[in-house]
Amino acid sequence: MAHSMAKYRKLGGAAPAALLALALAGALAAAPRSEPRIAPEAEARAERAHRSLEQAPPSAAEVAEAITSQAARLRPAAASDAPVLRRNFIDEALFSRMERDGVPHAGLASDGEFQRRVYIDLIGRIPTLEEVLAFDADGSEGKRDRLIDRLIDSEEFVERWSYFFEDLFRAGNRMGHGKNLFRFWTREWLELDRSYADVVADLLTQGGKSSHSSPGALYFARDFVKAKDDPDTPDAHDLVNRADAIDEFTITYGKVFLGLNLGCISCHDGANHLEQVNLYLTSKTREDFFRQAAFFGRTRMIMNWENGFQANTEYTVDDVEPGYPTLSESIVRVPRTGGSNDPKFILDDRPPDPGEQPRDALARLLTGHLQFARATANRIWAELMGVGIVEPVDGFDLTRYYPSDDLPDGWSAQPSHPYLLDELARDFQDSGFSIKQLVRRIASSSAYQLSSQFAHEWQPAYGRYFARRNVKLLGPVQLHDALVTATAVPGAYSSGGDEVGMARQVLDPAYVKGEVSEFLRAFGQQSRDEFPSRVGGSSFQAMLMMNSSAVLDRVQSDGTGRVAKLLEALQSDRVVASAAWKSATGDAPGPEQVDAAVRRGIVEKLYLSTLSRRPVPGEMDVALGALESDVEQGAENLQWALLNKPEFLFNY
Amino acid sequence: MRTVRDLAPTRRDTLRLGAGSLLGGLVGEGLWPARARAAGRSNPRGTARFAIIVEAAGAISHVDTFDFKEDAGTQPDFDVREARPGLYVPHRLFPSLSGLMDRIAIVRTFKSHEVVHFRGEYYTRAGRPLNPAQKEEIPPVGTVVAAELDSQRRESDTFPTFVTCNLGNLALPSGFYHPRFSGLDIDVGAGIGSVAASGDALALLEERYRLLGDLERAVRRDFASRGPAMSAFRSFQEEAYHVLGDSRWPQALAMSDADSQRYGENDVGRGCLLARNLVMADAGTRYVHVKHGGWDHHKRIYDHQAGSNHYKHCNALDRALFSLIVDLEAAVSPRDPAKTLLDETIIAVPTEFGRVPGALNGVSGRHHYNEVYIGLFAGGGVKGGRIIGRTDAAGEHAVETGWKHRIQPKTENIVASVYSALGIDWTKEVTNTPSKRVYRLVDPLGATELCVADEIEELFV
Repeated sequence: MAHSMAKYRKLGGAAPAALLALALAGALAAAPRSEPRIAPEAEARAERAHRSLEQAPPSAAEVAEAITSQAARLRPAAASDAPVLRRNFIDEALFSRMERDGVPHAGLASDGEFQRRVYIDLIGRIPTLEEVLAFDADGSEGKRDRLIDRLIDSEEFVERWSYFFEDLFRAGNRMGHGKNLFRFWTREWLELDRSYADVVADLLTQGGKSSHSSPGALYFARDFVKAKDDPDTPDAHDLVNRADAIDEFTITYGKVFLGLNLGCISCHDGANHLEQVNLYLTSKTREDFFRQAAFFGRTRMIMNWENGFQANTEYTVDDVEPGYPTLSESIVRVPRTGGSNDPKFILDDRPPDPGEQPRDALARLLTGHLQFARATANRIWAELMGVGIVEPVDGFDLTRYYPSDDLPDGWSAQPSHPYLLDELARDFQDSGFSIKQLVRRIASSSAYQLSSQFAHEWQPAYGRYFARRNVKLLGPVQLHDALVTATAVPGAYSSGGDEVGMARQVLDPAYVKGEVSEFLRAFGQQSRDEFPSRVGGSSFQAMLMMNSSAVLDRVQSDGTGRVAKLLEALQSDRVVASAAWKSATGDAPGPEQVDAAVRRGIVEKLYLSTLSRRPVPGEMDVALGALESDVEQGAENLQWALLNKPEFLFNY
Repeated sequence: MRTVRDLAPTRRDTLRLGAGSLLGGLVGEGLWPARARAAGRSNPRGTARFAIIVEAAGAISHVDTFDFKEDAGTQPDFDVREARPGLYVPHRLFPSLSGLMDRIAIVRTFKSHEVVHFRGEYYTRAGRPLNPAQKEEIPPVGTVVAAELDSQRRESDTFPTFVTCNLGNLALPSGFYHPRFSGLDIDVGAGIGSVAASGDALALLEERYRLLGDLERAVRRDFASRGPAMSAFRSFQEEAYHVLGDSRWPQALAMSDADSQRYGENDVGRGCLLARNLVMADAGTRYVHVKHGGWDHHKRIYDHQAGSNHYKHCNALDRALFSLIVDLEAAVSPRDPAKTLLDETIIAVPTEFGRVPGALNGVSGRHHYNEVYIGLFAGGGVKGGRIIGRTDAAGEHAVETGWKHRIQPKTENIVASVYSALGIDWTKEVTNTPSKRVYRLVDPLGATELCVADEIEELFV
């Protein structure tokens, strides 16, 4: 509060509307969690905006108008195809192409839109009310880049992307007690911004006891495939079929690190099967798959026995087997029919060097191949831009990578921008495989910062040009954490011994129980037995947003959240508003004038904290109507309605 | 106090306004409309309007239940009785259903592609073996039903066509179909707070929903130019609001103490009770999949003291299925007074495979066995009292398949029979899948051997 009073004295004779707005903003800014500041420029702007009102004492309506005209400033700029600054090679590639093909594009997103977007994408939540005000007040050059840098360096970035990679690596209950270790390790490499190539080499080469010492071994062991029961050991029915487990892991790392779907050729040759599916894989045989799998041909996973019990999520991984058994029984796929088991990297037919351990060779060949950098860059691109340059991100068709006249009828190149993806991949390599740098590169492009609003008639074909921002439904964790931020009501989850409030901090989504678990699942949270996938909207999601305790409990006026705090502050808001009025006009305001100002404050703060923007005049009228007869019930209803607006549920 | 509501249109008005957009083509992700081609080889029966699938997950021991064989594993307290001429059932396990066997058809000669659960349960829900290359686009059977029966939805239908019970994380996504055809999974054990509202909560919801509409109208133009996904979500909201605002919905989800006791206070009891309520409401739900888990008795299968054992599971299934059949039979169809709801509802009890017959294993249990397993069917045109197929004296192999084909029936044929009863041509093919592989509603290319893409006619005629 002291902070806001200081503001007052400094501004002296300014008009009450500005004072009220700033006083309320200052009161909000006094919250401990961030260091907000009202930049001098913003103060000057506010003064200028209201100088005209100094001529006569303002009416309540004028106060209202003044606040909403400020709101208009935070509204998104109208879309336009005005040229945007080409800030890096991404922009050169995308905008040159649009220019060449006569495709119009959206204008740049407003600062407010950009801020909300980059918070969701980079740290997995919407900005707080204080952060919205502070960013808005910052009128200096380069504030978007500085924000990107600050977010990337934050602990929240590590949490959000750790969750992302844990989903990608399916770090769930199949990792057993090792999950804690795996998560610690993931956070560590993200925080240190270790080379992603080194991280992947760890995952491909580590051995040892999976749950205690070795996150890499854990990644292999999680793909264990149960064998058929062995009649000779009736009490052990969770034995591992080694070849099946190797197959599964080969498919896993093919998808995750190379963007290839090798599942098809794990059962049969590509020819005569995949002509309509993937031209590249038609040239590959099941034997090629065996030889890829053979990089793990020596590797075993031995289930640990502890205290007389099998621990089927804990394994010791070592490399002492003779090789991949190409004639062994399979319980997951059609019978194996033999073939070579000499390791050979599927993309370039290279074998291990003489004397080189096969898994070491795999790590070297895989991370050294451009396709590894491409697949990784494409995956991060898809996460930030809503759609990959290659889709699906784990279904590259390398025969169709570059445009060519030699493709069969009906086929065209698969990537929207193959040369750009190559450039991104090389940039990623040059940065020492820095995930942070990759995120920074994409987020700081004008392409990322385009508005989702499109002034021209939209054509579906424009989508692949990235001619406007792709609107995305928030992911399950993003949505949960946006709810937490908007309502200031954290969850209460136990996660690896810690109590945490944000979903992105949870060790395993399976630990979240009850209605919240239902909620996360509805918005696409996979169990981590599955690969992450994006889901579209559904009526079930809508039902939960309207009726789940994950939402209803968070807007309670008798709780501890945003609505409750706003209502608690009503009395002090009244004092502030009266004082502001009096110091500006010399008269004491009537109770209805104070009421009006205070209610506007509530509406504005609910908009800022929920939708990261101020209301437009039409919205203000409707919202005030909702508060009219019962301010407590009205405030609950208003935040409920704002949380249910598609605008809240989408990253636009 | 709530003056806003006084100005609101009545719920009836709102519902009517919403109905158009509910049924009008929603756009969004997913493959819709799926390009289906009817092969025209089948002539579905259309004897049922509803299907209830009670999945015995974990695999029922066939020789201890409805293909009873006296062997080294048979327990003295089974109290085996002749339920119908030639049909012997352990009375201790199925005291109620034993008296109802004239309503139930048994198939004894199913053969499974699968021998492990994660594949087996998938097989039951997707109606085809797991294909790792295609998994992401394959819908569960209920999603196919929801899409196929979509054109039959009436304006008064608000409930989701496909409801699942107790699947949780295991619920399959809608695959290449639009997400609105995915199953609504209800965890009957954890409570239904998030999917039902009534009384004051409903009044509050109405007030809030109206406010949401007013706020949306205030900025509609701004967000209309950002693509269809955001406005499509408004359609989902209308659909959800219809369900929540329909007084039949909380009724269907409510479970009286008396009913709960009769059906059993466990997964399968609550699930069957919910299924009964949804069918009796006749408000749009056509396909209910209830999971009854925990049948995987590798150890101590007959140990009364074990937390999970064969007695306990059989008794739970006995009580739930008995109550379901009896209640549906007692209810007159709202469409046709000459019929009962049981006449219009096909009930199927699949399980993923059998369990090893003969002596118990070293830890007093039975391991997995896929050469033969059982399935139960009732209602919806199924002729009760049938026993289809015959196994050898040990329950190890099929002696007569029991149907017109020489190879044993499989889960695919359970699915085809349910499709047939619901009037869905099971030979249909969807040609525009993302992988470009043709999706056959019933796929004859099994994982381990071919199967016949046919219904089990012998259930019906």
